[in-house]
Amino acid sequence: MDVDPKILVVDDEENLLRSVEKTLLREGFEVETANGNISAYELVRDALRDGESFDLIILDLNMPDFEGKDSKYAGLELLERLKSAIPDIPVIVNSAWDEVETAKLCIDKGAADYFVKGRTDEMLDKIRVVLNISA
Amino acid sequence: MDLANIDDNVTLEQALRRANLLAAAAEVSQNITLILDIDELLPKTVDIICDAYDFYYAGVFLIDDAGEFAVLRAGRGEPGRIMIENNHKLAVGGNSMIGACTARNEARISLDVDTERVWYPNPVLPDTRSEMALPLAIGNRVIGAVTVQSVEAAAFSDEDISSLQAMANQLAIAIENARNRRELEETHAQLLRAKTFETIATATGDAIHWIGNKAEPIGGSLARLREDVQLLACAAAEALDLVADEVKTYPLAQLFLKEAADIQQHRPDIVEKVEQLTSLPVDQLEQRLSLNSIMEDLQIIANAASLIMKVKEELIGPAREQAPRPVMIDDVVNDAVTGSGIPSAIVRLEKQNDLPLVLADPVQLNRVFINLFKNAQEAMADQSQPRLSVSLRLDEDQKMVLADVQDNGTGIPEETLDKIWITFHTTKGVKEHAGLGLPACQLILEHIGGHITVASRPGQGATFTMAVPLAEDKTDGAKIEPSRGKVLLVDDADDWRHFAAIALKAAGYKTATADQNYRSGQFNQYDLILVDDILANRDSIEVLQEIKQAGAIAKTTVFSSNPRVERTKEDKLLGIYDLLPKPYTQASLLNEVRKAITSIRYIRT
Repeated sequence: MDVDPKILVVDDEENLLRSVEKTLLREGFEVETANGNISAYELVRDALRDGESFDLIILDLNMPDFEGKDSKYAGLELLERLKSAIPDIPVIVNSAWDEVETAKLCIDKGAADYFVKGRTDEMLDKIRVVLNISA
Repeated sequence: MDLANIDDNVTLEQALRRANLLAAAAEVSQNITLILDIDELLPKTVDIICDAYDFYYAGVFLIDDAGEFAVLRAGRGEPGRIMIENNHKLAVGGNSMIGACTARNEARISLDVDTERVWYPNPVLPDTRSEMALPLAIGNRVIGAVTVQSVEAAAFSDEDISSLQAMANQLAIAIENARNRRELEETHAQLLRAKTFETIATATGDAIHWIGNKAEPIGGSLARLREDVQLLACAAAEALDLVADEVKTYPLAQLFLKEAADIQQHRPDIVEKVEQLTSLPVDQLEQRLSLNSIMEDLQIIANAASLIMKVKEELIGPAREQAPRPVMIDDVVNDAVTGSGIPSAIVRLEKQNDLPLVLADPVQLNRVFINLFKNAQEAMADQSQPRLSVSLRLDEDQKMVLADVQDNGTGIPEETLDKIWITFHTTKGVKEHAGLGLPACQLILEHIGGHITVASRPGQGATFTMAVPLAEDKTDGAKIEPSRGKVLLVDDADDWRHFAAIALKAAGYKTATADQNYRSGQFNQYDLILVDDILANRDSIEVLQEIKQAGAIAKTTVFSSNPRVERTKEDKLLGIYDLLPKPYTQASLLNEVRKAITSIRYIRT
């Protein structure tokens, strides 16, 4: 690829966001971050408007929802909105919960993949698969 | 008419009546003793009594805790329902038949309510012509009363009292038994909650302590790292001072010089330390400021973090809600053998024929077996002929299935035997294990009313014995709805596939079975394909890929005794219809199959 793939990482945990950003930058990706549903959505909207786009979005499920309330699956709402606004951009979802039902829900709503938080190597593998890059 | 004949007729009539009463009493006794649940017992009793004796109405009063009122707890039909809704109750010793009967532990009888002194008409029972109130008593202790009412006047004779009283005495005992049982269940539930809470509190306390211990070194390592990194940067800048000015213009050199300048501003003490260091000979410098020390501190942090993550992963296991259901324990064992990676050649499984279903959460039970198998593997690491045998049998009392897992490894020393069940105790060295496996197994089993014990001698291996309670399957006797459709079962030729094939055929599905080596382009002819997630010699995902190539993936349901997130996600991405926990009863299997076939048909039309 001539241009480095651009990834948007969304997570409300600042430490984790910064850590993932650093990991991805070192892997050669271009990275932008958002610490919530709303800021993420705005970033995507602005990018679209400017004619640029993300190649991949990594989304944390466990964030406050669009109304600011804590919800176990708030990220799902963002996933739905993203799949409806930019259906061709793959979204990988992560969650603290290692649950089968959550995984099913995410795939049903159009996620390209799903992994449990904290598993960095797994995350990198999935990113490469979804973006069709060899390690 | 001859007097003698009249007497004979009366006697015969009496005898017949007595016989009828005895038969009715026997019927009531027989039926009420079958009901153990107090909530079921009372409503059913009034129906049973009315049906047996052909009464218009029967009601059961129970005396409240204060001993003041007899409260209506069951009443036949609509009148009963209305009265209960209105909290109908009568004072003990008050002016009613029930009041009198409960106060004196004596039956009251009214053969013609119109003439009775202590009888008040009940608006919801307008047709009553005669009524009887019988005390429910255990010895001298009155616990309530039964009222029986007939639309005929003079429906009861004095003789009837003794026979009906006998029936009432039986009822009193049945009620007392049911109440005792209920109290026992509640006490047991309370104890279980208290114990569970205590266990969680203890485990949490242990966990906090343990995690604290693991996290503590991180602080020390971090402090050293901060200083060492800054020292290195400054030392590099110092070294650069000695090189040619030209070199100092290189970007890397510039970087170090700049970093050093920053550090000098904020940490003059670091600069001082560097100056001290630069006067040292190389071997002492190495001790003080080598990369080895930095890497070692990083490793300390890495170990701590890894252990903490592992504990988190393990703790969310037993604390996770269990969903016990009827399960084929041998199927779980087989899947655990495959899942644990233990070579099947060294495993011997023995099981009693017709082992009943056990009540357990298959995912957690799977965890327990995998845990035991992995421990066994480690114990047998130096064994040239490792052997693991699992035997499954019904215990003598027929209430539990016993599972023995025996290895021929190094065994467990006597002084450690008790300690293996203690959380965070481990003999394996702190780096690898948090020592949560066996305590978690114990918690899982005790939660479902089972237990796990161990017997071992050093050098002679160890045998872990689990007891798992039986499942009471109430649904399998139910009628099966006849169904239509073609179903393919892809699974090893094991007991589960056998059970599933029989159940499906009994329901009317055209059923074909295939083991994992089945090669067929005929997948599309089926209405539903069921695939077992865990196959002995092949990855089920390969089977799914073949099904996808044949264009039948949307008609495929995967059953798993241990649904895993990653596998679920992969299967769903392939396009399967669903991945579900494996059903072990006929009713649950047919239910899932029916739902799947219906939905699949709906999607396609």
